[in-house]
Amino acid sequence: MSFAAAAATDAQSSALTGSASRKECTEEQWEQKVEDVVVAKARLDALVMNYLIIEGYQSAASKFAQEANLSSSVALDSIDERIKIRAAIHAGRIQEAIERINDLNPELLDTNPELHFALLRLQLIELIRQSASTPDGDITAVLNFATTHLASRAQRNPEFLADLEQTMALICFSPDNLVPQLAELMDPELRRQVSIKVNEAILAAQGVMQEAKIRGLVRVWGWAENAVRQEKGEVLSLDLKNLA
Amino acid sequence: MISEIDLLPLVRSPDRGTQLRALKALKNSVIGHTEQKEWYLERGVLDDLLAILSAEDGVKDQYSEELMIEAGIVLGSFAYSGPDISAMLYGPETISTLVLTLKPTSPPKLLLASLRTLTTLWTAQPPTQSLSTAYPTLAPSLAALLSHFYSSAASEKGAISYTIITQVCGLLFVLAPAHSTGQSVLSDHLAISLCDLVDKLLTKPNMIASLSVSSNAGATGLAERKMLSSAILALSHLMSPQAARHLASSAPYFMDLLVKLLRAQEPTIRLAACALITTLYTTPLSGSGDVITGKPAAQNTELAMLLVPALMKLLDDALSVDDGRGCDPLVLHTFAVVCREGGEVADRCVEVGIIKKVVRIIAHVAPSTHSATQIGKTESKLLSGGLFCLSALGLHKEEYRKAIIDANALTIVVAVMNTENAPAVREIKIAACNVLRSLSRSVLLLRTSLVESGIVGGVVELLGDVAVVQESESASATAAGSAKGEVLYDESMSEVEKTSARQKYLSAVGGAGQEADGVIMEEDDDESEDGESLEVRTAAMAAVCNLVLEFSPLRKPILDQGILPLIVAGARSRYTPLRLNSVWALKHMVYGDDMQTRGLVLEEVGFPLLMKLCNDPEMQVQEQALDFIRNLIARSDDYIDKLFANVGVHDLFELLDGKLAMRSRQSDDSESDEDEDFVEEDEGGKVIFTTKPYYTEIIIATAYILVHIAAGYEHHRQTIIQHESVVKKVIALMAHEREEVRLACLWIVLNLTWVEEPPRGAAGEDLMMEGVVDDDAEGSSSAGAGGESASQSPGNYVEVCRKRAAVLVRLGVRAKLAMLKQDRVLDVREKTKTAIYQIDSLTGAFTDGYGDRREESQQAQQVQQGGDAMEVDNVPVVRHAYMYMNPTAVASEPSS
Repeated sequence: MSFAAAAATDAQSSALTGSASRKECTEEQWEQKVEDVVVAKARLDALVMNYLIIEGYQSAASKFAQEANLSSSVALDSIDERIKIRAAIHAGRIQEAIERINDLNPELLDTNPELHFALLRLQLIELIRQSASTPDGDITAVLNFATTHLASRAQRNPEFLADLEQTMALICFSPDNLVPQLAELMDPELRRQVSIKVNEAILAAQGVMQEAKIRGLVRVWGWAENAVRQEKGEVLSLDLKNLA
Repeated sequence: MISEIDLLPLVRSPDRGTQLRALKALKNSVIGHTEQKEWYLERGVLDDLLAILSAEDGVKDQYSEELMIEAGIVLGSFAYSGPDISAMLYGPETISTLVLTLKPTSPPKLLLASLRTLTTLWTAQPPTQSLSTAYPTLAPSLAALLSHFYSSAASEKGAISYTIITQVCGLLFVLAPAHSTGQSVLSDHLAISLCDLVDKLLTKPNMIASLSVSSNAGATGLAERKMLSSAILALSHLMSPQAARHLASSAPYFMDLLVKLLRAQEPTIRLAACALITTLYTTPLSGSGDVITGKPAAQNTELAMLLVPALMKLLDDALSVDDGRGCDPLVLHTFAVVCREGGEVADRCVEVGIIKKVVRIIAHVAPSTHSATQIGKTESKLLSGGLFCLSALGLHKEEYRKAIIDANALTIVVAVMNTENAPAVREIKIAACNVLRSLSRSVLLLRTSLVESGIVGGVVELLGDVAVVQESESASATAAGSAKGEVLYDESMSEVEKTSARQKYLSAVGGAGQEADGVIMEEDDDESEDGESLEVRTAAMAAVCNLVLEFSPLRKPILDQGILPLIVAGARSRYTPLRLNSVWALKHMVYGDDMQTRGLVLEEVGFPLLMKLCNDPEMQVQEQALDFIRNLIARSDDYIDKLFANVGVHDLFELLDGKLAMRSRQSDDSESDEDEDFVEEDEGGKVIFTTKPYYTEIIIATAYILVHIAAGYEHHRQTIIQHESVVKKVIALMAHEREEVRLACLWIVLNLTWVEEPPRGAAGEDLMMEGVVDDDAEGSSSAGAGGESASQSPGNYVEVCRKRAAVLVRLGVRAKLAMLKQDRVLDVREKTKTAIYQIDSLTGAFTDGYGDRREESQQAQQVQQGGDAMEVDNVPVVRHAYMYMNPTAVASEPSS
């Protein structure tokens, strides 16, 4: 029921802000109004399913689909694949991630050179990290990789070139003592950013929106709350305890 | 690490497990890596992949399916590359192997890979010949995929089924508009299966209702909606007249559903619905639309009115983000097709500001430098769509043209024209030429905005390389051992070495292209040119047509650039649309009083080519060539003489005689309804001639040649009367259903019976010298095959006129004139009275009561001499050419 309240009032609040006269109601009246809004179960189920799919909860999604008798047009096994790809990137296993992407959607990297470059650069960074952690610090593999896969791309695209040059600068410094710009590259945060891009690209190719709908609803609620507060009104904030 | 070792030996391994692992490694090493793709393709990996894909009948084991899938995916990855790589891929073996994998029993992943690869390849290089000939299984396979996966979508495999159908529709969308109407590339059968699919989708319970609210079904509905919009879009491209009739007549509810889709939540579905309704609006339906004129029926106009707000919303939404850079080019294209129909719908579009909005969008993507490299695919599509839209509007009304100029569209056109010629910008250049042609219909603009625009260089450049044409021309003339101008397009066709993969492909597929009418013909042997650049030349030639008219200030600058040989080269082309537009341009150049240009043009064209064109297999070319002669000899006795001397009086009249009798000559090899070609029917006591529209145009052009000859010197007039068979036909044609024919024939009679005082024996009104007359009389008797020569004395002269009138009377002119006295057209009735007066006064049947006739007939003669040619020739309309250049539109203009 908590979902229903959130979803329904979102629609209402945006309708209310349009009216000039200020209406007030008691908490009971409010509750009543909330109760009055009928949300079809199918819609609610769809909202939940949407969240589960986009956030990548495969087993939950397939169980929910069974229980709610929903058919999903997104192959559910692709959810699992996306999660594996994300995990591989997070763990720095970029080659594995690329191969999984190619298995899942062979045209993705062919048609999305920026994404491919981002992944290859990440792979280069991982190679640099490896070479830095070995005692002799052999950088042959790093140079080979950069020459084979990145140099020609950088030639064609100035943005790629700047990124590549910056990355190659990592070779020259000790990983413990980097300027903030370079430190960013070694930060696992970069992996996370790339994994988000990959996830979005895969979802976009599947024709699915890239963000769970409920996140949008929560934002709308937040906006409505703010709007009411600015009018010096009081409103229940979207909080777990209020939704209980 | 990405594998750096050569995988080829492993791909060729006899061990299937090794082979599969190698293919997977190969896949990962080529996806996104252009250099690797080149490397492997140069080493012949394509053959290995095709072998694996077509090995279906061979060993069946646990690997065979996966091997095929992986091979299909690798092939698909090759397709996503630059033109160099896809050219290495593009060949009949690749395509037919892929087509053979399109079976409902193939693994879905393989199907997806094959469909994607075909779509990618055919997007890069649209098929130019009939696919049903080259790949007979393609259309049935696609139809089978549609029905199979639609029924299996209900099962648990819903997602992949939807995706496959979406891919099939995407492929159809790419294939259908290629160079010609959809039905010639694919079969009608496929259009009908697609109709049924869309029908089933739309009539699913709750489908329409669910589309009008925002997507709430999460991921579930999305794939289905994607499928719906791609299916509707594909149908809009594939719609054949038969399928349109099938839809509109058998299922009126279908139209209601489509209209409801205009309010769907998703823009892609609204756009698809707009595109389909537009197709239905522009496809003439027997019974509702007028097939002859191509005008949409009234109820269709109502339907089209609904499109305006729907399309405008799409356009406005696109404009609100980033100035419309993300606009779907299809929005502009659909607008253009709607606007091209003109009428109320175009009015409404202009009212809501389409011109300014379109210009705003394309101004951002227009090239700013000479280099063509900065123009991407999307920009190119947007630009050509926008320009197409403007040219479609410009065809119709002067006020639209003015609005287009006011919106500053001309700077964009000029910028496009002055961009370097490159394959990537061809489509835009064609569109820009169309805009230019539309705008040049306005005499006002021709003399003002267009003069200052600086377009001349760009247009001329599109027509080809002056130096090359002249060189090849003289070379071929020498080779044939004949004078310049005698090397014609259908002679000495030698097979040229074709180097590009593309052309190899074309020739390997065989003569399908030559059979399909007007689809593609290879250019003159010495310039092997592909269809696209021929299209550019054709479009540029159409734009030139109006710019070279006598009153155009651009005429001289264009001529100064040495354009004439280029136009004549175009008139020799084997590509019919280009030939047509070129002859058209030549016709415009000899129109008017500029005798110097007339001379230059005639010298360049030469009589042999001219005669060849007069007998062109294409009726429209014949018409233009005859009009060329008509303009050439108008008000110029010199040119009549030249015509007689070079062609020969006998041959010329044989030609004219044949043209006037189109029926008897053409009916032998024409279609079954030959009897309708030239029908004399008795209608309430009147004998009416009817001929097919295109024959009628030829007859009119021919009749006006005779009008001009009859307005020449005395001996010119005599040649006509000496060819009784021609005169008989002229008299018979006085009962033609078209008033233009009747009028032309009346002019001939009027000119033949006109008594000039003093008689025009020789050069001009003020040079009445016996000697000159003498010379002329000799010339006449030598040319006139022993007929009566013009007399030197006024008395004899009148006598000759009298004899001419007597011949006309003997051949039955009086009966026809009597009939025309009651003609429904005022002009015809007036000319008839004058003709009767002239004949009566010559044959002695003249009685009083016609006192003022004489004066009037003199005026008539002057009008004839002074400005008759204006009527047809001065209207710079290039409508026929238009049809060829915009093949996606169906019968927007009469095909006669």
